[in-house]
Amino acid sequence: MRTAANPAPRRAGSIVTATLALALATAMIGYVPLSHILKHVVASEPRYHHFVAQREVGEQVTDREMVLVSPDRLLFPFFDRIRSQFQPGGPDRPAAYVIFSPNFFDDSMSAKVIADFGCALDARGGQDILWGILFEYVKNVDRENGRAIFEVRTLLGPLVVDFQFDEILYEFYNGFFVRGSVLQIVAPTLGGGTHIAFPIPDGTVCQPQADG
Amino acid sequence: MRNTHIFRLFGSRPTALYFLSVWIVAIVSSIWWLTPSDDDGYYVHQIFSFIEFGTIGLFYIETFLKTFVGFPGYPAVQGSFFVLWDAVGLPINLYTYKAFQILVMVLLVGLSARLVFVLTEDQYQGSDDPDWVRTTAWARTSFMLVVLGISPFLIDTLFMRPEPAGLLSIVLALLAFRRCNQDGARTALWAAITGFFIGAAAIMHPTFMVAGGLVGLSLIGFFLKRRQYLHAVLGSGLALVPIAAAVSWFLANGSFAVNTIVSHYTDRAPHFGGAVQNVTSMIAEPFANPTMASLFFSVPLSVLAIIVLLVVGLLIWRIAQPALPHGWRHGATPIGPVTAVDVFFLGALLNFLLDSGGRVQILTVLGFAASLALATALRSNPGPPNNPRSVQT
Repeated sequence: MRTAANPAPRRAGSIVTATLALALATAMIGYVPLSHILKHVVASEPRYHHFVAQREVGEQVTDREMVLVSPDRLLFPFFDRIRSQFQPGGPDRPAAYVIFSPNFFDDSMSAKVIADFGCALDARGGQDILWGILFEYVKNVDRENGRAIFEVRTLLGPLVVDFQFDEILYEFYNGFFVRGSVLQIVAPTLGGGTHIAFPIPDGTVCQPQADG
Repeated sequence: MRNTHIFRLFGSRPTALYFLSVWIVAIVSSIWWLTPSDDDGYYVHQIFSFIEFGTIGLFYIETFLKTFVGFPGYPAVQGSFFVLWDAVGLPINLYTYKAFQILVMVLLVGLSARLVFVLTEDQYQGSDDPDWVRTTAWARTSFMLVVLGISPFLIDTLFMRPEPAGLLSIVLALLAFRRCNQDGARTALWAAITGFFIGAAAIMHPTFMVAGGLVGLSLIGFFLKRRQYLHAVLGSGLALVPIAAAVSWFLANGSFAVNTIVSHYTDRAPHFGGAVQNVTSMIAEPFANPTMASLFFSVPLSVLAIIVLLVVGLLIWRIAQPALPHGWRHGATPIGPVTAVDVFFLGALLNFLLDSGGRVQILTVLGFAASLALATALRSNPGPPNNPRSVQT
């Protein structure tokens, strides 16, 4: 009973109201973090997490392997390789490349970068590749035979990669990291057609590859 | 509302500090709970580019290229921060790469809370009930911190993006502008500082050329109205310093640089109403397609729609009354009771209305501006008439 002589129920009610109000306000501030955490808890398939990728992929990659990611967000398990690319003398190990961010070039620069990519692959015979890729860029996967067709965007058009993989290092609901070899790349040209960018055509002159 | 239990609870200093602590925990722990975005990848390259080459660029295969797709303010300031970070031997890795963004976010939230608090104190300066003023100030601060959390503000600001740095520049400009309005010998200096931060915001992201530009113009109008010509000249001049530096960067790198930035933003030509349409459909999306993702976006966008309508309604109401019974009569803009915080909100709203698709980045800025405007507009109980010296920002 709420009386001046018996204020306990009133005080208890106030405490409950205050606690609920604070809890609700805290949940409102935490809406975005809690949502991100919740998706890992309730999702039926595992969501990508950079620390899991670091453990499952970043710590497994060998010094021989060239790392390719599509798109940029999958670059983070290989943080040390990002920096080493910029250091004087070039990388002491194969770098980690984003294949490709279409915004950064004009058409002729895109063509040059695609040619450089073919040369970088040629220097290693297309072998020892670790590729992290979202399924939106994967056209087809044959898990039994370890073959996949990737189709990544460039400013000139789609770049189609025939990839043979030996191992899936980390798979999540919308992508995976696979280890294997590039068999062929069909790339768009400046004129609007396509050409085989890897294996590189006879007569192609490549710059010496820092990570060859 | 003056004596309600909830008002007293939210109007207490410990409660506001508790909310601020929750914010700081949420921001710092984003290293763990937020997976990196494509923007993170782009800007991490630029950090290393700045450290090793002293410029803004990235490697593609064997070719190092300067990049001109964005404004240089954010990568240059962040790059400078990490040059110092690196110089003192601190590591740059998966745990630390967002150090600058986290610092900016903590400062942004903390200084925004400070802004709401001091503006409230200013508004009710001269009150015969200082306890009530203080309670109102803390209540508004708490309200802003809570509403900001459920607005779209946080959806995109903990990725490496320039919007928080631009917002921080705006908040610093508003705090500096407040000092212009106080009695003292250095008000012209504070006008210059105000201008500098508005100019700094403009080179972070094009959003701030509209939203921050509108604030800048209104402040120039304010100084001219008060015949503070030196303040107007200093503020305008200092605003041009960062802008001139950014323009020089593009011009110094030739036609390729200029063409790249022009074509990048030509692709985003204004389209009135496109964003409204897109946001409305995102709010309704959970009814047609009830997924976690659609719900995740729908909730803060619904909150944003409500806040925006409330602020617009309050503004119309205020403008329609030439002399309110208390406060607002000394609004620090040429537009009567419309404050600089309101002008920033209107600029962000204009930017949103002109955007073709309502990209999340624009919604984060609008969410912030609307939360700030609503918090400073709220009133719980009529206070005493304003002190004539009191000036709203």
